[in-house]
Amino acid sequence: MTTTAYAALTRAAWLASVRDRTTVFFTFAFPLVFLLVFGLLFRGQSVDGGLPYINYTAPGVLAWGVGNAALFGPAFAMMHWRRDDILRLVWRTPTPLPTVLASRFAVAVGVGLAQAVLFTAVALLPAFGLHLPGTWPLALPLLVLGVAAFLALGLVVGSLADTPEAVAAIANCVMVPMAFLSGAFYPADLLPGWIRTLSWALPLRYLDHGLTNVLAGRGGLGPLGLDCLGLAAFTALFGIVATRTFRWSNRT
Amino acid sequence: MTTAGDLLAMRPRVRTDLIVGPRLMRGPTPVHLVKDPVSGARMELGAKEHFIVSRLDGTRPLAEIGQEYATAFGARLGEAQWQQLLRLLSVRGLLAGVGTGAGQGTGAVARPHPSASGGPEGAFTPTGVRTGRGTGGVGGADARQPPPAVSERPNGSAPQGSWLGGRTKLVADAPALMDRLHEATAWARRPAVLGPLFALCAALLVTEAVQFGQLAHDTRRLWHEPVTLLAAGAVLWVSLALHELAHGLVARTYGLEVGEIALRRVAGVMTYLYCEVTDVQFLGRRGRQVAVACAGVVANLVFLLPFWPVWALLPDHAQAEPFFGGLLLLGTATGLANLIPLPPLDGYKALGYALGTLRLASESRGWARLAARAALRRTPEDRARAARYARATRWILGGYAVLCVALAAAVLLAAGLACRAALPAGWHQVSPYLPVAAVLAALLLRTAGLRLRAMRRTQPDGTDGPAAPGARAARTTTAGGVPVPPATATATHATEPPPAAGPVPPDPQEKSAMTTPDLASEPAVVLDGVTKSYGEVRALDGVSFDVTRGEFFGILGPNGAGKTTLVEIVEGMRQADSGSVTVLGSAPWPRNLELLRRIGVQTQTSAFFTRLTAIEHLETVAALHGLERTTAGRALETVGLTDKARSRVDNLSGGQRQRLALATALIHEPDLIFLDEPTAALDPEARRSLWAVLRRLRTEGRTIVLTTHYLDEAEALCDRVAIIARGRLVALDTPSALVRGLAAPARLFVPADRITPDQARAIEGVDRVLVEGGEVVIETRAANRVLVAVGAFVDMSEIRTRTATLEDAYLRLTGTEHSSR
Repeated sequence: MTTTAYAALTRAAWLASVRDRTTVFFTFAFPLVFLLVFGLLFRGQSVDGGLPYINYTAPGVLAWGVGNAALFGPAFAMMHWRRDDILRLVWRTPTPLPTVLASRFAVAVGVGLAQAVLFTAVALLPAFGLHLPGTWPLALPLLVLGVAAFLALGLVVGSLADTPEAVAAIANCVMVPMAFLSGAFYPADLLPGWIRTLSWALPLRYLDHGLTNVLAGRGGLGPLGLDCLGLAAFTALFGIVATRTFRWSNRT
Repeated sequence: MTTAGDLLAMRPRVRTDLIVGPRLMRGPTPVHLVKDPVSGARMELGAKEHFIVSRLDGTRPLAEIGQEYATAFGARLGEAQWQQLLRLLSVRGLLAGVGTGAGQGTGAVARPHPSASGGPEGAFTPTGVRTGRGTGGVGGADARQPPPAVSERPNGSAPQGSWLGGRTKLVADAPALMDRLHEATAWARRPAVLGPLFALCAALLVTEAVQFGQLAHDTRRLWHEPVTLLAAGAVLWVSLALHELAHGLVARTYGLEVGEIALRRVAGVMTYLYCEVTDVQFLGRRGRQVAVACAGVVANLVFLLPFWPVWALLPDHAQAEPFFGGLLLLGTATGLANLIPLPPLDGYKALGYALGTLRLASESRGWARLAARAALRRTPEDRARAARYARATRWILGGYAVLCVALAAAVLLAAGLACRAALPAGWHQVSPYLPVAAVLAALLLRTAGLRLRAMRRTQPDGTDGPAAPGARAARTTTAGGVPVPPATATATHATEPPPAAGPVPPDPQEKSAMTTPDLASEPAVVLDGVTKSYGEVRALDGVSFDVTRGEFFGILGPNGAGKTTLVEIVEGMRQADSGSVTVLGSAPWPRNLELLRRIGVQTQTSAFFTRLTAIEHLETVAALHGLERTTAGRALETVGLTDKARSRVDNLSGGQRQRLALATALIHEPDLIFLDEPTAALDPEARRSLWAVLRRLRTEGRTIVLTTHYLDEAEALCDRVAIIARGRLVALDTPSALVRGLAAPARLFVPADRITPDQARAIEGVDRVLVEGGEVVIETRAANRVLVAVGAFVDMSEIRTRTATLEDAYLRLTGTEHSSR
């Protein structure tokens, strides 16, 4: 039986992700802790003139969790693959590099969907009180595009950094301020006006904004389309930067 | 056998590089920790052993030490005891190489050494009888050492643990980080800076105590502002990181080694940082040991100092008051909580160091149990065992046990009160007892779990879990009674290789079994004037040679000679600046997929997909090549790794990794194989077994190009060898022709007491005579004749010979200063 390179690489990436217990912990348990803390602290409260708190907390934590996982995984993989000469191994085979990246993307989307299911399910518990509108499937394209944008960003980080420490440092420097500025931990409607304006320059803002609207059943297709467009634009931008920064080997 | 007089006249010497710690108490027994800096092994020496070890300096005979011992301990050491003790020390590798003994050869008390022969019979034949003195005081690795299963992972970087627990390294190279920090903080490590800093910390604590009400109020308010609380929590995380760095920094200042700084996960939800410092208890002064343990808490307090004035200067009812007040109180609380003397907190370590005890908690538990039993049953044995504890020790251990009980009671009481406050009024009947019930349930579960595991371990298949190699092996040797004899006279074979230090020499017979290549066929690789520069550096400078089909071709050269660049050019990963390259009839540059299908490359870094098993890795590689999955199993079989198919690549040993890398290069059955230093960093046995695999490949008719800087490897494997130095080809021929061209003399090694240098010089045909390490070395170009002549002085079986090897040729050609060894 011949396995296609794509299927085999997806399997390899999947096994590598699942076996990295630390990462699994931080991918699922860490955002979940945030969700539990915020969800319980603000139980039953609403933002003045806005939605219930859980309607900000759940999509915010979800957006941050998905973005984080989609960025860190490929960034570390890229760095490791270059350092351990896996990229050279791929270079010697007929399999093109986009196949390798596509397999990473598939795994990242899978992880993102798993996160979405878990966090939404927890938020739907009576203790937290989220209600899912019938239009929830609209979140799927958002998630896929969000994963794509952060994966592209992850490839840039992975191409720039040569050590695991550097990957973690760069990725955290990117993600932590972005999470605070995009309203992932804090209702975006409560952010000062100028920060809210500034936040539209960040990919996480589009994901957070779109998910908040979808989960609240508000906004409609127009804003959602704009959010998707924004994420697609960031994907393209980071993709171009990634092709510029890509290196086959550390020794060049 | 030696007589007692011979033995007592000996002056063995303990290795001077051993690190011996100060006197510590482990339960009732005084012990000294000893570390072997070479192997990293740690041992405990009892007081009597330490008494002797500290006197074995190579100048005093055993008789003298024995007398001192008798005065100190009131017991004489008989011959059997001395033998036992010396054997024990030598088995553990604690004795220096050769002592200056009474007679020639008798001094070889140290580890087994094949060349230590010729004199009288080995001095110490193991008696196989354990003396009543019980030398078992030596042994057992220090408990603070990480378990071998963790420390002996080949890579060390692999994340360990299960879903719920495990550890994650946060700093890749903690020692290097500590070195940098140590330099950067040199200005601060002066009394002029530290004194005021400590004073400020004390002032902070006093202020906090005085203004506790206000701080508590702020903290309560903080609890109602989750976002601020989160911010305070984030700031405290920084403080925790500084805490660990402070441990490491103080340890580094006192010259200790910082193992790693990492995050540990326990039971799925708890995570904490830790800094592993080894050998704290080797520090001579207890104050320093305590300083290492307490440094973290001081760092916590120092970190809070800047927030203090801000808090104090804030106007009343300011918005930021809860943040700063809460930060101060929570920060101080977490810091001081670390001083609670319970394992694994800093306070416990500090207390243990201050009292000079080892394993305070478990020894204290042991003493408490013993004391309780002695008080209840009053059997003479129990009383005798209890009497072994000195008065001071009893107070320390008993006091600690009482302290633990009191602490546990206080914690349970507090938890009970908290439960009562938190749960609704209807629960008041039971709520205070919930924590106690929870602890009891947890203890029951733990006991049941441990029992279960113990039952599983003792399954009839006879395995009792993975054995800790170091400590346990050492123990078995003593208990077994018949360890390796330290020095037994072995008849030296006439052609024995030089002592084990050098690499294993090639076996000429193995090689002659190979077929010689068919030189008529078309070349596999043709290089013509290949040049490559990186900036100013000329990596390759006009290199030309051909590799014939089916040939085993070696490229030799010191590190940085351009070997790797050459391979990269031949496979088409780099373009040569000038010159032409033809591989299997076509040009490799630019990326030539058709050609790449026929080439297999094993690079220096073994390229494995992370966290896969060996077979999964190969299946992935097979799919990358568009091959069937079953090829993976076949490739694994080729390199003899089938039994490791389900092992993770990170857990393979060095030799197994190299085999897997070879299987990766071979999976698509290439005609031409490049191996870039396949046996670098392998032990002799693993190298030998990899050679066997390579030879088998050779017989399958593949062309193999091997770069190496091991001469013996090239000599054993290669049909032809190219020697490259500074980017140039300096020689190209068969190994034997290279050696012959050297016309180097053969060397005969004769034990020095059998022939004098002058007698040797008188023999006809001898070029030069040297004395090296107890042997007379005779250089000659007429080996046969000289050998016969030397045979008149000494039995043939005691002569070793060594003829010139490729190594000599190599050193001559590349210049000794470029030798990699």
